[in-house]
Amino acid sequence: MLCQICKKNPATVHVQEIVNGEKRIMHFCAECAEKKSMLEPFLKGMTLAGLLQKISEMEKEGADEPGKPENPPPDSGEDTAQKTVCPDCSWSLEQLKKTGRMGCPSCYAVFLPYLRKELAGVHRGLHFCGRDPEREGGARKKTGQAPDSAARIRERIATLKKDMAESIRREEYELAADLRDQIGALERSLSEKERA
Amino acid sequence: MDSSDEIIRRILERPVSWLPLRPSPGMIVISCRIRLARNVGNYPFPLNAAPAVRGKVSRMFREALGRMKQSGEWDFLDMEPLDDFAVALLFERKLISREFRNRAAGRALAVSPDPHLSVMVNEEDHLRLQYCRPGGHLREVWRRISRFSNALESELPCAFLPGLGYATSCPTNLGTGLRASVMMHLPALTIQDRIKQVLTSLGAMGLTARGLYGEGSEILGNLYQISNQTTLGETEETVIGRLEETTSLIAEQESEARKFLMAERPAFLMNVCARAYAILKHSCLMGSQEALNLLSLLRLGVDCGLFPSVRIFDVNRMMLLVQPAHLIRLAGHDLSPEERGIFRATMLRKMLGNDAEPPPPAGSTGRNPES
Repeated sequence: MLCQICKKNPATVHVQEIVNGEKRIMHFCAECAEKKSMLEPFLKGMTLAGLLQKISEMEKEGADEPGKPENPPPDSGEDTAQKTVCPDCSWSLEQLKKTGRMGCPSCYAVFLPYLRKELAGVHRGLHFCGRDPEREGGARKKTGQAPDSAARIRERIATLKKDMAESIRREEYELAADLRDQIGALERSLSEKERA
Repeated sequence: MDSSDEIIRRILERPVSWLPLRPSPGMIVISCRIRLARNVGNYPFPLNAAPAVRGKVSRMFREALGRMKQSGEWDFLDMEPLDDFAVALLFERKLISREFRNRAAGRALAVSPDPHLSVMVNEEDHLRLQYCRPGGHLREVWRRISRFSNALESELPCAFLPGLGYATSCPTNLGTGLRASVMMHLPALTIQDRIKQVLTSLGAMGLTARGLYGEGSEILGNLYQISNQTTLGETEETVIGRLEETTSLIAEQESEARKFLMAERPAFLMNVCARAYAILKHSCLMGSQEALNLLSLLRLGVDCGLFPSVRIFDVNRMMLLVQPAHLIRLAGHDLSPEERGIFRATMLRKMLGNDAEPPPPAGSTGRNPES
């Protein structure tokens, strides 16, 4: 049997996948399987069950080879991993493994080293790129309500107008009316700003 | 303060956020929804929190809402005292998750005056903000919910880890805590057996498909909820943009599949839809899952212009009313599973204009079939 990807080498790796109850068996050569497995976590995402299995596998490995977790917490010994607990909420690695859930926000500092690699596979890397409350809502408390610049308001009006045209095209008139009101409000605040 | 019965009554009077009030025929995207997972301060997550802590978090959220003048008067529904029937109604309205049907202490559903916005308190995370509206327009949903979460977070600091984002109970939500989903009606792709191909390709996009009732639920009525899987490594806008692009591509494929059936296999299409229509119009016993699956095919027929007398609005109503709790509410009293099947079939017959009583089953009336 030939590899399904390169269709040249004999298939030596056989992967069984169940998607929506449908069983699928795939056959790859070692080379393609490796490439695929390197790419797959980033492309495919992983189920929670898969993640948990990885964590528990890694722990077993960790017991055999001390220091296997990529960045073990400095004070963790070879077989203390199981007993690692969060100092804030007493959640243990054992409980994390059982439930797949963290106990409190501080747990991430304690347990993240154990699942860094797997979590990066579940997501697209481990770097947060989203909305930061420090710069958004939360910042208002610290910096005071900074008024939006005229340029930003104009930008928003332009986007809203595009959305309004789109919603009219889709015959979603309720939404279009709503957007029209939002645009009106922004235009008023813009003209006030320009008068000031 | 209003009693929970009163609040539930008000909630049920609101438009159903996942079903269009003024549906247009041929609607492939039924509704879209974004939820944000947030946790308050550094308190332990609900699973690990004592009832007193959960209660405190719930109060803090309520007080924060009170300080947000623009957010209006919210309804606050404690889950603990509710009965199974009330919980089932909320679930069928998709206001609460599967998990939330378990009425642990401290759990509450907060409903905004904006009928599309609600918050589950002490689900897996302290706060699950959700905005759901009929039709497409995910970006507008994102604008609404992010505006609300900005306002909320300026009153109620949420757990945020530098470089990692919002701390959530489950590491698969860490980061943006955002799950965006688009509910699509894909009967033509399903009956042409092309849906597997579509669903498989979702994985490569970091997207996944779920059934009508969310995580772990099976596909019913050819309704698929397409949603993102990842919450780290990308901005919210990127994730939403990709979901929007992908779902509009799928909608195009569905629309092409329908055109193909109409042009190339009209007899097959008519047969599939008309059989569903006939069963809905003439059966005496009907389960809710069967009803949803048949209504999907009836809807396809209506979308393709096969049944001019059936309004898509009524199909939507039937989709809501065939669900067990809504059916019992319509009946006005409790029904056994068998009675439900009879009542559901009767309701469907009537709504489809068949007022004739079905012939009584042989033997049940004492009439001798031989006479």
